[in-house]
Amino acid sequence: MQFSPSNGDFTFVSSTEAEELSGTIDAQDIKLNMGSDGGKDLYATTFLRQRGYGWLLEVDEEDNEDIKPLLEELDIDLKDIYYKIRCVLMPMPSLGFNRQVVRDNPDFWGPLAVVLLFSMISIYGQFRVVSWIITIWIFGSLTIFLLARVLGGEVSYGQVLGVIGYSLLPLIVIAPLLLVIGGFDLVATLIKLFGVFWAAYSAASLLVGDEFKTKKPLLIYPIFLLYIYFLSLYTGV
Amino acid sequence: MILFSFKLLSGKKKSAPFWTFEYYQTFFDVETHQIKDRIVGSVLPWRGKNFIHLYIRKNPDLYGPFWICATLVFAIAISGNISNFLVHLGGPKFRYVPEFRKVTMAATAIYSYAWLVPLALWGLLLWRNNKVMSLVSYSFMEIVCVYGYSLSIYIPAVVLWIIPYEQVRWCSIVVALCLSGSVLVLTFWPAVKDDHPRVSIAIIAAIVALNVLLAVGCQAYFFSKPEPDLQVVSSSAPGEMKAIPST
Repeated sequence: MQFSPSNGDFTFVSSTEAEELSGTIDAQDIKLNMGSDGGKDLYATTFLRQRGYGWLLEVDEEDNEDIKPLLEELDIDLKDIYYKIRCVLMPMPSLGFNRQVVRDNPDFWGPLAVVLLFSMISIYGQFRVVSWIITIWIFGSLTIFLLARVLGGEVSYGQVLGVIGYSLLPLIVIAPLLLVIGGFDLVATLIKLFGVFWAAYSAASLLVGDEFKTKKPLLIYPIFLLYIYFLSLYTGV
Repeated sequence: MILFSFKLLSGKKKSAPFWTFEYYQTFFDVETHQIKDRIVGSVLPWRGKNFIHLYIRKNPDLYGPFWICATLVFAIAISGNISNFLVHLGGPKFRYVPEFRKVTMAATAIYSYAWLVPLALWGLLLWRNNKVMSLVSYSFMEIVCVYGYSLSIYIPAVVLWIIPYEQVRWCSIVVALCLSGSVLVLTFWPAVKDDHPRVSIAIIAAIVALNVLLAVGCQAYFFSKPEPDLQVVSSSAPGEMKAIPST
């Protein structure tokens, strides 16, 4: 059985080189129905083959090796997320993390997971808090994004979303402490202040690149107000 | 011929269209130390030193007014809630419920004071400038700046209002009123003094009166009076606490 060659499907090589080249047109894992199904089919298959349409009969039984693991398919890189979490929880520059990674390589599932964790903690049995916290996350990040842009920084909204989301982690860390102490004591207030400072400093040091380093306190302050609001959602609702 | 200029920003050329970020970057062209200087300058008025001339001339910013107002709203919300909590602490049948509705009211009041009053004042000054040539004229941004920064003295005052003693509250409100009022008066007096004396007095009186109204209104609405014997009754409206003084 000979397939009629056309210019697009075949390349012509000189016969001297042809000895070194080898290959097969038949794909190994393709089974051709050789008419074992019956008389009628045998006629159809031979008819098709005569016309050059044998490829219609190919049944692809090759195993699909492109099935990625689910996490990779969803673009969730756990190691990356863990690295970013450590960046946020310990914002001291002396530790030498590559802080630009959090800013330059924003992912979405990490911050979303953190925000959801924060909402779970804040729930106290009221599920509508989750949607409100996510709304505040999105709109607060929008405000911070506009402010950072206008102050001269070059950040994108995705980066701000990611950084603000990740920086909720310090608040989650201090939440168990507040549960233990509870109420309006001075110690509780101090812990809350410390948590908010930590979160704001973390977020600002991740967001502020070299282009507007002098205006970093100007950006820290609104982020600080935003995290105070988050904290009030946690304690007040 | 009277020169009638409609410049929103005196002396600044805005070449970028208003829907780009570059347009707004001209309004935020300040550094941290400049903001600090401006806040300090608004808190300590000095006779002869015009706030606008000294600090803002040629570079008004929107960052200060906007975030000082935001801080003030936060401060009022937090202090109001804390003072309510402290006043009713230990009272029978008391459940601490933070009142978020009041926060929106505070935000509306403060932002309209900081942005609408300058708009009105700017329009008024422009109108008077038409009639009477004045040596000093302020742009809208500069007036917004003065009002915004003059609100910064209220932030420590509001924090002091947590303390439930009448004397402390009245003291702090009087001090805050004096300082912010004097900053405003000192700033606007050169702009209106060339005018008819009655008009200029009227304008200055209006500025001061609005300031007083804002301060006293905030204190009365958001901070409950610390009266000695109080009967706390929870009303039917959710999230509202009414305090009825016992007869």
